[in-house]
Amino acid sequence: MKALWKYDWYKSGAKLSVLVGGLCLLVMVVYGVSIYVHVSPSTLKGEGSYDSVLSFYDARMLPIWSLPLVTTWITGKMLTDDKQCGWRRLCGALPLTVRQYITEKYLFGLVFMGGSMVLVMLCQTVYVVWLGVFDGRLLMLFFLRYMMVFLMTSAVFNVLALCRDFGFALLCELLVLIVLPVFWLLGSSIFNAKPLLYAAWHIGDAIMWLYYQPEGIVCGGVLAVVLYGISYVACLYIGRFKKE
Amino acid sequence: MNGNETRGTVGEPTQMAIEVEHLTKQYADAGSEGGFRLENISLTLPAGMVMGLIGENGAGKSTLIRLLMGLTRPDNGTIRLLGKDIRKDFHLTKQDIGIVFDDTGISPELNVRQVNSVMKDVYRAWDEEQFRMYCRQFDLPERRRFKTFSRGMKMKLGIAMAFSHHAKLLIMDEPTNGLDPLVRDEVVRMLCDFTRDASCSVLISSHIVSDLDKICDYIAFLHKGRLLISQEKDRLYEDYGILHCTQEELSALPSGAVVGSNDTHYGLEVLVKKRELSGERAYRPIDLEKLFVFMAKRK
Repeated sequence: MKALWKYDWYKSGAKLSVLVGGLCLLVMVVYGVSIYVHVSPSTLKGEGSYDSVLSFYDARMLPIWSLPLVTTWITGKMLTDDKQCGWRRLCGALPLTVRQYITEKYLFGLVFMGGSMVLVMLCQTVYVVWLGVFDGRLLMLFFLRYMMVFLMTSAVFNVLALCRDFGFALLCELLVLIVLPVFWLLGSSIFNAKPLLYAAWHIGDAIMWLYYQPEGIVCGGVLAVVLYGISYVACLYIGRFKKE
Repeated sequence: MNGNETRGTVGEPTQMAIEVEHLTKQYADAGSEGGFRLENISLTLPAGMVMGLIGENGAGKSTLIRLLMGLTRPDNGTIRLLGKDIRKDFHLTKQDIGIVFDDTGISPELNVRQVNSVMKDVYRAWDEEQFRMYCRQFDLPERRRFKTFSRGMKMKLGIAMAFSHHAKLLIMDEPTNGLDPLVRDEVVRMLCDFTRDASCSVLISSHIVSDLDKICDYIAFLHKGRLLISQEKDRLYEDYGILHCTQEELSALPSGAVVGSNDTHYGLEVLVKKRELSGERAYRPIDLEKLFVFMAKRK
């Protein structure tokens, strides 16, 4: 495992560190600016409702979105790169099993994901403490939400990357997250397809529930862990049995 | 042994480096395009010996090597390397095996130093000094990335890796491909040195039959997924010979003695089993390439 770790580090550790480091810097800048131009905590006095406090936990999610998104690609990118230079051949030549190989790739990705998560959590904690709106429960939900997005995206991405390649996985992600919803909404509005619009509405509701409601976030977190486990097992299976 | 089986007769050694029994692997429908069948292969290689695997493109050499390395699951049959089942004793066995494929599979972003550092953690018996020595010998720059290496340089690196962990068995798939004659000669010498230790064995597949002729003790011919022969090289030379004769003389030969014939500008060239013929005859010496061509054509 140590050998594989070194192998991946030599292969793309430096590039990934620069990329993720740059994104971390961006996150820190976003939080720094947020602290600098924050709404005075005094405005919250007397209106410490769940929603207004929650807004401090949500407001920065959009600008820092690039970090989880990029770190979820790491395992998939490593798998594709190795596929191109014949990783099965390497496993055949060296005393390495497919299980060791796939496990290491998942761990390598998880380290970057975990590292970025720690950084965002630290920034978020400093931010809410600085504003005086620290709430352990909300911070935990923030953490769960972040983890949920990480694991769910990475789980699907890794399988697609191993089955086909990184570009294909990226294309699928783009289709599912942007192109499909836009065309769905545009198409159903233009052609006045009410069932499609209702379906989009319900799906949006379900996503909002998973993303914003405490019960939804907990359920989503559990679902993400299960999905990530399934993705790992699927990659093991593909690695062992899929012909290239 | 059933009727379809082709089996090597390689004496009765005490310890075997490779034991393959009734190995069968089918890809798609053997008759269809892209289909292939490796059929009921049984061969053994005694420890301390070098076996050359000869076959035309698509004969199944690489498939056989992939099966030996556990990269592909056989449909049928058993494989034992260094006395162990590679599936059961995966780590133990592979620590003692050096493998050279036509492509190492290592990322083009790495350099020689980094490979050394990785291999230190892969092989218990990794010998850094030896690896550096081979890299110097092959003129492999330490800090240049592999993506800048030529095919020959990559092959040299694969060979250096396979030789640097005190392996007991070397499995090489076309190792001299893309190498210039000087380096090929160097590799052949390295293989000879390697097998000086009586416990070290080599299985080598190559198109360059002259290289195999220099170093191999045993020869295996693969043709269209079937093992035509697996025998000691010297016995092959003793058993087979070339006769130049006319059509009438060929007809007079016992059919069991004739392996194949070839019409040339200088008359008929006939490959015969010497033992099947009585009396003194003027046999021409046979080389491996010719022997293979005759046998493959007969099949």
